[in-house]
Amino acid sequence: MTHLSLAIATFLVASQAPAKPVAAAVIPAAPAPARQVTGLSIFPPDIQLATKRSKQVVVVQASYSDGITEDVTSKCNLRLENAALATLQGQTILPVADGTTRVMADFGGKSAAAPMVVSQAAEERQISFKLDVMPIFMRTGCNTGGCHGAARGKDGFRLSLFGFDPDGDHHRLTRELNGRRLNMAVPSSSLLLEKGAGKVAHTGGQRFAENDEYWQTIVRWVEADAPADPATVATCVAVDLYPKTGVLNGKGATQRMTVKAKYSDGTTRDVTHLALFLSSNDASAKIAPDGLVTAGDRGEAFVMARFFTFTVGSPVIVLPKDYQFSFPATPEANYVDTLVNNKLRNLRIAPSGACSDEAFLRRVYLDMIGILPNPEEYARFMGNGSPNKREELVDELLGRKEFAELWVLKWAELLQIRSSNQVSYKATLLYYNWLQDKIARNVPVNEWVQELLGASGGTFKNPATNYYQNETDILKVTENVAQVFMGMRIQCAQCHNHPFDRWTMDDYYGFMSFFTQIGRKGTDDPRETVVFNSGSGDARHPVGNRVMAPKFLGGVAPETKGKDRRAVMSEWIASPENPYFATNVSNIVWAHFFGTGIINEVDDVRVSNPPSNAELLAELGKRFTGYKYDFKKLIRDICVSKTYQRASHTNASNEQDTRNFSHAAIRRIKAETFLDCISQVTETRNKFPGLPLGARAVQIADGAVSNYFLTTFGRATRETVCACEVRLEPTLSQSLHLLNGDTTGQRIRSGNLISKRLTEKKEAPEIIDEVFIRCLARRPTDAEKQKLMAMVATDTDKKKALEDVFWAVLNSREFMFNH
Amino acid sequence: MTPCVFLVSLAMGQSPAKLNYEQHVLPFLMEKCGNCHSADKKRGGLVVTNYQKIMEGGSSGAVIKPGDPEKSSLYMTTAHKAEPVMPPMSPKVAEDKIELIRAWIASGAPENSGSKVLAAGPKTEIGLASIVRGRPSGPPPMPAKPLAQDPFVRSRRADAVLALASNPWSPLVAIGGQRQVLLYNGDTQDFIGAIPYPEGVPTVVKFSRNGSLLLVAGGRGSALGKVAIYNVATGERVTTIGAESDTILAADISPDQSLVAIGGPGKILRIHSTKDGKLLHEVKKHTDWITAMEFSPDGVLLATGDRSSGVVVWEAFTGREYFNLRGHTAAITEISWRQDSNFVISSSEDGTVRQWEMENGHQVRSWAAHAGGALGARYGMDGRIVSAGRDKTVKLWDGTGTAQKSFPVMADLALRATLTHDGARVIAGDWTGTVAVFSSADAKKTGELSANPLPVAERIGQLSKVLAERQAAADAAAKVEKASRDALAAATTELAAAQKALQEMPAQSRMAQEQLAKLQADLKAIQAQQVGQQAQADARQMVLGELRLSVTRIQEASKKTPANPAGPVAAQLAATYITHVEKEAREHAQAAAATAAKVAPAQKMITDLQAQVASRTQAAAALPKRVEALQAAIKVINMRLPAETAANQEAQNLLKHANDSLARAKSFQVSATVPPSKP
Repeated sequence: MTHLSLAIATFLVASQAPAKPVAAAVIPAAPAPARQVTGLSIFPPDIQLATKRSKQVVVVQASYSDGITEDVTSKCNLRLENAALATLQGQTILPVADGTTRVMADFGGKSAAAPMVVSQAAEERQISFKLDVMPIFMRTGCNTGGCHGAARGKDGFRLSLFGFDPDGDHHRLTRELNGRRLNMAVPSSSLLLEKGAGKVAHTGGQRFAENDEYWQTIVRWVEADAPADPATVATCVAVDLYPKTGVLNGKGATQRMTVKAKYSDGTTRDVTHLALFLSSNDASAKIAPDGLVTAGDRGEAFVMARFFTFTVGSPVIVLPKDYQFSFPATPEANYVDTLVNNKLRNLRIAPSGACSDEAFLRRVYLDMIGILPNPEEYARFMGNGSPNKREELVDELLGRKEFAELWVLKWAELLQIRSSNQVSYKATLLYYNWLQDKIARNVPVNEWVQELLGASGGTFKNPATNYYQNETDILKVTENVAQVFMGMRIQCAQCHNHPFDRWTMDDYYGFMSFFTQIGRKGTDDPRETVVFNSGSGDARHPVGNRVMAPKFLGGVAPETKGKDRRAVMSEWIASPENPYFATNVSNIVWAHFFGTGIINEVDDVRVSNPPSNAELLAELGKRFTGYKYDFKKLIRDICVSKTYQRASHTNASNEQDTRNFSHAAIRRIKAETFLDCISQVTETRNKFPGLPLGARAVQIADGAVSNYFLTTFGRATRETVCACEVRLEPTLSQSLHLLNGDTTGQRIRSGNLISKRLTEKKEAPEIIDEVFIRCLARRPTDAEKQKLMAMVATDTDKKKALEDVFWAVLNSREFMFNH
Repeated sequence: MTPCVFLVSLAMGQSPAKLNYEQHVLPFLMEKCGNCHSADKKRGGLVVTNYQKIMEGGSSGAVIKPGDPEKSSLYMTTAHKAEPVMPPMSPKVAEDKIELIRAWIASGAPENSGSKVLAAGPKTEIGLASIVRGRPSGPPPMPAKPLAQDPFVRSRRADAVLALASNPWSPLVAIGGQRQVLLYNGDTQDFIGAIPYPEGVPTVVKFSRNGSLLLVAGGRGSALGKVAIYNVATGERVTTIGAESDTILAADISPDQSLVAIGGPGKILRIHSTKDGKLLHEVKKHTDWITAMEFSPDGVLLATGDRSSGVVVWEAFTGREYFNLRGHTAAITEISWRQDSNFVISSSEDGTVRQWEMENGHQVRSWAAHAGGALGARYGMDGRIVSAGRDKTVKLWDGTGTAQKSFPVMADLALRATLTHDGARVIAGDWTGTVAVFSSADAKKTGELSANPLPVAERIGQLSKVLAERQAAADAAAKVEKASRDALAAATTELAAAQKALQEMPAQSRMAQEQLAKLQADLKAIQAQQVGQQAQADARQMVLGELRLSVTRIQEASKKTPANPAGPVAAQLAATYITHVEKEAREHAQAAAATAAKVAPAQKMITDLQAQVASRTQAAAALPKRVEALQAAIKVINMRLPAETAANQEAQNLLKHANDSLARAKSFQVSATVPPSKP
């Protein structure tokens, strides 16, 4: 390439530097109006103290007229109605005598009360290994994957990861190496305690202190001769984290959290001292091991408490201290805008304005049909004076064949349509065609998903059966179905209870039981396999080898006797009964248009990864269900929303926002579409194996087919169902390939567009205009045009100079990104 | 010198010595840094538990610059003045310890207190010139001096029994307790005394092959491991060997008493000399914790086992590998050699006991000994094997692994078992801390040894109570025996009489019959005599009538013829005659009456005799039954008598035993010594 083209490229790159932020929508700070206390709450809302060992940490939260919340536990007049029943030590209530009373608090003119019951106040509670001792190992980090929770343990001692196997842990502590870990004679000199308290050398350091609460619990347990629990011991059935929300006023503001566990025998306990606290965003809201949240930088965090197999969380918003803000008037096209704006209002973020028609045109073409508007389409749209021209364009694109092809590509990635040793090329093609047919005819998603997951028959005769041929490992099939159709990564629960979600091994193997009766047999054609319901086979739990009855993930255990278990499962999975299906598909669709899911990643739905806008996701799911799973309607809602049509320019309040859709995200175009775009603008054709010359990259049926360009730009290999298969990160090899590879320079020459235009006696400015419109769906700015013309004019070789301009545009960031 | 160091020095009972590595710094480093920077782990290439190594430094260079603490990363990281702060993930160590490190480095980081040359270590001469096989000469190795009767530690209960051994040549049994070893007489189950092991909890106790030394190994988890050797006869500690940074899990002393082998969580086998404690061999071969080991009785080989199923046989004197015995699939729990050194057995968590021969290192036998895992297996002196396992039982096998006895199920996991010197008893310990004594002949439990004995004062109370109970029991037993003996005597006498009576029965009966016949004949004779006498009397009366008629006639005639002289003469004559006959008649009547009076008595005599005969006949019929009953009763008494006698004897013995125990305990109470303090 010539110096000229490099110079142009540099210039173009520079010209795309973010424009100055639009004037901030923030209203200058007015004198802070006095905040009014509008509500006062005591947490937990009802208190049970049973046995003299119980206690309860109480938190009082005040909410103000401007939405700020404050932990006023130490400021309010916290007291007991009947002080004879319990004592209050700081914010902890300890039982004294049996009875019923109320916990009272007054603050800022409001008062609150919570009922409290004290029972068995004089009785000692039986020490329990599972309820009292096991939680210590999780809280103090003993059984994490990096320590004794590792598959082979650490330094010769293993605990089950996050305590999934308490019976095994009891054995290992008491009887695996007799005399090593516990000293039954002198409990306080047990190695477990000496190591944990750092009294002797311990690779894991000090996890608790001598004589603290954890130490004493373990000593008590050993003094009772380290008993195992009777089979009747209660199990934890629910965990609540209080308060449920928080809006903290400025750096350094704090909020104490309290955690309550409910047990199968109807009792509750304060487990604040046993729960493990985590925050999704330590920079904004750091949570200390004792449950104290401290506000940091402005932002949003999800603070979580983990106890037993439960992870529960509360969203916490941190605002600058005494932040004054008023939300600008923003037009709303439909429910999408309303819900997005509601969230932005809570966060005190002003959205960006609407994008230009040119930006919208390019964005919606790339997103909906995966190609760029050609000069005619550009001219038509720009010349359209209708106020509804954007909606009209969306409707038009929904009918395009390329729309279906783009979504076939998307689903083909998720269904892993790929030829392999198990799946012949023919079967792959049939499978692809089956999918294409469904999408092209706009068959409701639930219908074809049910057909797919319940499929039986030959892989040629009923290509949907290839789903079970692509992946024959039952564990993987189970995980894939959960990940693709419910957005859940349940892999963890194969070996241990999910550390950050609700899934236990019981859930995993219960769900797996739907896939244990897949029969496979050969046919006359060695390339074809028949998938059928073998009618026998169960999943077994690896701890104890129990037979697991089929149970929907997060749902009921259906009657499957005499039925095809997969059919039962497929009917449930793509139905309103499955709370995850509609929202998951909606989230996948949303992420396609915004680059970020409402839950991100889209296949990582879990308690500890909450949606950035739960109401929006729920509404999308509801609407999608209401549309009878017609996802064209869903896409229309999204594409006509003002949220989708926002500019990518940011303002002072939303420049940090990446999750709340206050401005358009700048996204790299994915590999297939990008190659199609280059081919389209250079008027060159591609040859892919099995496809005619000139076919588009999105039409490649087989995931195993690729080329250097596609691989470099991160085409999904479809070897896994992970949303991360499509890689969109820019890499050095991508840049080098575009600069020096045969995709740009050679295509410009072989497409010969410049020559044609010169032959057509087009003038250089006209040709530059066309190149810009073709590639960037806009005319060059005057400044760009002047500079380019100045360079072209000085060059004697017009063709070469214009080709350099073309090359530079293709190498510009603006071309590579959808903005 | 800082006050703390001064105190440390004082506590060590010396004049304040120069701050040095050995005395002051090493104990701290062992405790806080030893887990990672030990010779076993060498985290970051740094070893702090050895002076030379610590001066060499780690992978990132020297950690000590003598005289300049600020340039010594040992000090800087410990004081949290430089990254990475040490120890990691823990709060800063106490300030006085940091000051100790600083002061030590500042003073030039000397190794020890005195001269540059190490003071010669204490020499211990316990090595033997040769190994004597078989029973050693001299009296059986038993403590000759009185040992501490008060346990050094009395805990809430006994811990799981980890260490248990019986002396090969005497009834001595050693049990590991808390910071002590408890000695018992396995035959009498007498508590002999306690030996202190202040280093921590013993995990291994072993007697030397000649029974004269007791090896105790253990320590404090993740902190300290030491082997202590005691003289059995005196109960005194002979030497202390090893410097492990974690508790020792396996150790043994060679039969010639020149070597001590040590293994534990460090995975390294270390062989020390008993003479000066010097480390002779250090072998890194085991891939997991070393959990079992034993020298062969001929002293040539050493077998070791680890937690991941490995069993290795070494040349004891060179530390070179001899055999690698593969077969087990889970952790090794115990290793034991047969007396002839030709076979070694290993028990494993895989449930089997395997027997290996030492010709080619092949597995000879493998048998499933304990479901769930075999936790111990030992050869007895007679070649039998006793094993313990997770099935809570202790089993006795012959030398080929054929089951001989299964002992009563224990309360929890059976952890250790050993045969006593004569093979008559099996001592076994379980998870609950119970040490049971079984009789190997009949597999009965005969007693328990406490791994957590009471303090002597309490034991005296207990012993007194036992004594009283035994006294009562002995009295009761004696009473029972006496009652039985009395009953026996009475029954025997009666039986003899009855048997005699039964014997005499026919003769008596015959005599009675004869007597009866005679009496009846007598009666007849009497009756006949009476009839005759009556007849005589009657005849006289008749004559008397005739005579009186004649007289009348004479008188009438005389009247008619008064002068007829014949008439008065005749009358006179007749009168005389009448008188005579009257006299005779009277006499006869009297005789008849007398005879008639004899009839009734004679008849009574007959009736009496007849009644007597009848009753005798009846008695005779009952006699055989009575004899039988008596014989049965005697048999019963005879049967229970030996047991009662034995019980009585036993009760008396126990009583005597209790008396002795009490006397011993009481005698100790007077001379009780002060228990040693914690190390």
